[in-house]
Amino acid sequence: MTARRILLVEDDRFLRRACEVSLRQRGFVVTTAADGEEALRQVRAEPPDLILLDLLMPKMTGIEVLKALRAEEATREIRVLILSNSSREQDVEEIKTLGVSGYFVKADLSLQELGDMVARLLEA
Amino acid sequence: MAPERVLVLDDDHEVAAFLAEFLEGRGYPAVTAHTGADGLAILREGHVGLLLLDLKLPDMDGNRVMEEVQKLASPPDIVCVTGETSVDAAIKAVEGGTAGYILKPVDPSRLEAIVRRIWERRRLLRENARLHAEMEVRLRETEAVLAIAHTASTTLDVQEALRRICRELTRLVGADTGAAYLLDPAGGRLVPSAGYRVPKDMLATFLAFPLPIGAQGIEAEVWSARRPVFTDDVPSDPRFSYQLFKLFRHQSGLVLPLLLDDEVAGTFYLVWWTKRKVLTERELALVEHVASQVTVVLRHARLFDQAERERRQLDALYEISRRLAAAEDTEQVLSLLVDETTGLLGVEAAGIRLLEGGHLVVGARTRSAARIMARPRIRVGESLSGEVVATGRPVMIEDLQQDTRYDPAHKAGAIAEGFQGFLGVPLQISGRTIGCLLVFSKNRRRFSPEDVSLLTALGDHASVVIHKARLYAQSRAREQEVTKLYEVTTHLTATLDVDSVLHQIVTKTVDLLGCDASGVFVPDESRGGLAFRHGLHLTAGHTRDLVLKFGEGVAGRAFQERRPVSTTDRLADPSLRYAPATGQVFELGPRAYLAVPIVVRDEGLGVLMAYFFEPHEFSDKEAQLLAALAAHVGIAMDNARHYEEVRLQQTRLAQIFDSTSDGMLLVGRDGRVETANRRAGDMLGLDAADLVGAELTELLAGHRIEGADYQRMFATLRSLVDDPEHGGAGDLELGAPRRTLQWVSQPTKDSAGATCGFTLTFHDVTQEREVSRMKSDFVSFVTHQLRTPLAGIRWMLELAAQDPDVPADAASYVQDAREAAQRLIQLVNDLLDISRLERGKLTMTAAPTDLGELTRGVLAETAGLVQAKGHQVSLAGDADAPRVLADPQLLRQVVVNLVSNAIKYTPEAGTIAIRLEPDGPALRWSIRDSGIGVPASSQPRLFEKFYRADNVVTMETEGTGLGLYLVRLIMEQLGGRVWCESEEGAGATFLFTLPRAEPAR
Repeated sequence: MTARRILLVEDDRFLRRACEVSLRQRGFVVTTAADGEEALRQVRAEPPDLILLDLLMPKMTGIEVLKALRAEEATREIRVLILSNSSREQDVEEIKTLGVSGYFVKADLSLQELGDMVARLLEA
Repeated sequence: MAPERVLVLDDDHEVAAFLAEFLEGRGYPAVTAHTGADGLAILREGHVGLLLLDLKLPDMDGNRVMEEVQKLASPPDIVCVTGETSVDAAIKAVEGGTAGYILKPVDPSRLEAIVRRIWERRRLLRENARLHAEMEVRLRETEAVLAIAHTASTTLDVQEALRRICRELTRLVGADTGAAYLLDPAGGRLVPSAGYRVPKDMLATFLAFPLPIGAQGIEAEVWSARRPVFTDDVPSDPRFSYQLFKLFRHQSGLVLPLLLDDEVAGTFYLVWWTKRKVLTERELALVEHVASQVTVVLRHARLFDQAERERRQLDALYEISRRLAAAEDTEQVLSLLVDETTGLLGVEAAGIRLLEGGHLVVGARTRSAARIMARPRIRVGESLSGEVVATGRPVMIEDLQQDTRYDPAHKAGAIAEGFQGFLGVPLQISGRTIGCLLVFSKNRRRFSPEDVSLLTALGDHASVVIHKARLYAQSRAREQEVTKLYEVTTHLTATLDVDSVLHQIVTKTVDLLGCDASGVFVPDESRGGLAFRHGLHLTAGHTRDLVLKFGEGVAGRAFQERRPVSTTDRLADPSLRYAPATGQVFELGPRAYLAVPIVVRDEGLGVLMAYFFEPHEFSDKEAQLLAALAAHVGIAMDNARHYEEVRLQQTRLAQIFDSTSDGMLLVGRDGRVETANRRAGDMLGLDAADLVGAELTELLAGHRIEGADYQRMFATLRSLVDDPEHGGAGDLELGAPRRTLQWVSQPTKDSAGATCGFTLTFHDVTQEREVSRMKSDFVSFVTHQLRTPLAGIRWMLELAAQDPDVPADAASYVQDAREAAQRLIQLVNDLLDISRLERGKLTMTAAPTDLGELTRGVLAETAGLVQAKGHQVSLAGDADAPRVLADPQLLRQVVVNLVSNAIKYTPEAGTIAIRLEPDGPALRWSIRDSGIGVPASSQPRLFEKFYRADNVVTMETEGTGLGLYLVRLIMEQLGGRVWCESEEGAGATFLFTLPRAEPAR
């Protein structure tokens, strides 16, 4: 089984680094993007198996990225897991309509829990 | 009737003569015959009671004679007289029906005995027959009387009763037709009232023809002697010469007087159309007797009739009084009354004259009386009405022309108009004659006592009406006076100038009492007594700065004792020596004083004074008059004061109403704005005055903006119009400029407590809402900004903890740092939750939740902590506990908080017992620990934000003071209740209850 590819979209470099390290340790192929535009570029170049998507980012927010993904044929089916430290009610409601695999507050997750969850998602 | 004889039939002349002679001598009439043929001839003539028969006759056998005798209508008794002694003859004679048998030679004494016996027997027989006949008559009579008596008891209708009596009378004497006539009380004629078997073709004529008494030939006997009149030959009997008897041709007729109370009240007439009736004495006596029974019937019927008539009159009187009560003015009432009077009394004209000064004026008259009562004013002495008024008694004139009692001049008018009968009754009030009620009839009319009493009753009505009208006029006059006085009073109070009121009163006092001067004292607490306030004709030197102590002097006493006080001469009255302190004795002042207190609702407002400069004895009338004026001044002063108070109150309220920062509307039951303050106008962009009368929903719809909640918002307001009783509150988003108004509604009640609308208070919360929104965004932002570095710390430390190269010491620091970071994250999360709960922004979805399962899950998560502290944890009642209705996420937070608190605040190796149990309709969850407990002083504030119990602060435990606050907020949100039971040092129990989910859901 070829290694699963994960795109990690995160503007905070500390979080990006910790997450990347942790997932690589588990054997996933991880690419990263620090903003929404970069993320879209990468997805279009080479669609990943799973996108871990932050919401509040420079240039393009996570919701805008998600909408763009869902609007394109090639990227419509890519699974997305929202990882955000924001929990604005309006955002949560909107995201539910865009088809995501989950919505988690990063501060509430340990890397262990995140890794387990990603593994479960990619196995399925 | 001819007496009976004895027939002696014997061919022996000598014997026959002897026997006849003997019997005559003994008192029995006797005739003789000598042959059978002669004997039978005599027998056929009748009147033979006894036949003395010789069996041996020359022409005929005796037995043959006997056979013939038996054929007679009334056969005599037969005694055989014979010389033969043969047994055969004797037997034959007996078989022939003889009553006796005598052998010749005749023994006279034996003959006499036989004749006497037979005579006696025949007499008895005759007597029996007579009695029998009499019995029969009596029986028929009784039957007829019974029938009439039955009629009497079953019918109260005179006509029906008369018809039945006619029937009985007709049957009794075998007549063909019967009729009854009754005397018309109004005139001398007989009115056909009932008939029995009157032929149909004659009926109309019969009913149309009354009998004039004077024209009847039968009058004398019937009316004077009260005897029946009978004829078997009507056509030729002069007594039956009246037209009616000729009109109905008949042979025999019987007139029976109908007596009532010893007066002839009518007649019965029985007719035999063709039969020449033989009326026996007995029959006559019978019908007379039966006719006399009629009296009873008639009396019954008459009484009933009278009662009926009286009832109808009462009805009519009642109707009149009802209409009189409804009629507006006296004139209308009286003309109504005279109209009704003509109908009730059956007269053609009626009128009322009223006494005015020495004259009688027309009060009302029927149209028909216009000419008799043409003169509007007449003198009392010059008319019939004057007669009635002068005597105060009813005046009745049967026939104006025939009358001789009254002055012809007084009657001329009525006679000229063709009236014959007159009746007038006086109109009286409390025994005083005020006029008269008059009726005139075209026919001569003998008014009955009932007529007089009826007219008197109508007159009484008229009197009452007139009396009422006069009282009304009087009370109207009084009312106008009062109105004027009221106008003065209102004018005075409207000026709000008490001094002008006082001036009016003192002026009036001098006018009305004729006194020399007047004045008013009013209480002045600051000066400790009654201060002179206003005076007339008093010099300033007498009154300036005059203050009387309460109870001092005439005025002081009147004020204190609340009664009029007077003095005839001040200088002669030792009780009026003023104390030197007051020091104001004025030798030149008024001498006589009258003081009455001015009191309104038990409050003394002052004293009104009347003065004379010379000694004067005040009368009761003067005191009363002054008291009346004092009452006026009291009311005026009171009104002025109240008016001032009310105005002040109104001004204040209006100022408050307009100065409030909230908009206020008063909305009526019809949904229209009744009152609005200035601020409400500002908020809705209109003048407050323009809001009044506007429809509430229309008013607000003009300001609506598009929005999800718009429909709901307006529906709520609309339902408020329909049902203001329950009030309500909510937010109202309005556009242009966009703003948010928070509204609160309260029902308004009238003085009787009924809901008459509602108030709507608008509070502009645009800024508050904006701040709230900003706060929410700020919290979100801060939370995000805090969480991001915290997550970084957390994850970095996690990575560090995984690094096997980290030295043991450093690893333990990393572990502590991880816990600290964890706590910080929890704090941020709690703050976020609280912020949301406080603003009601936390979405919650209530679902049936298994609290036992939820608790087990929390215990599993905290098992590590429990183990670390060595606690014993038990859970009871979770096996089949009913589910509760709650949001599982929020409920979980509650349980987590309470469980972790128990773990935290219980020293190591403690016991923690969780229990689930039903509590009425709810489920109770409790957790008891063996920890430090909660001091009583801390318990009331335990669930407050940032509060931490006194004893935990000193303990080495971490806590933010947010946990229990969050628990309380969540429980409030879930509709449950949470509380604590504890004693410091003896552990604590935290409990909450939640409504159970219904099994059906």
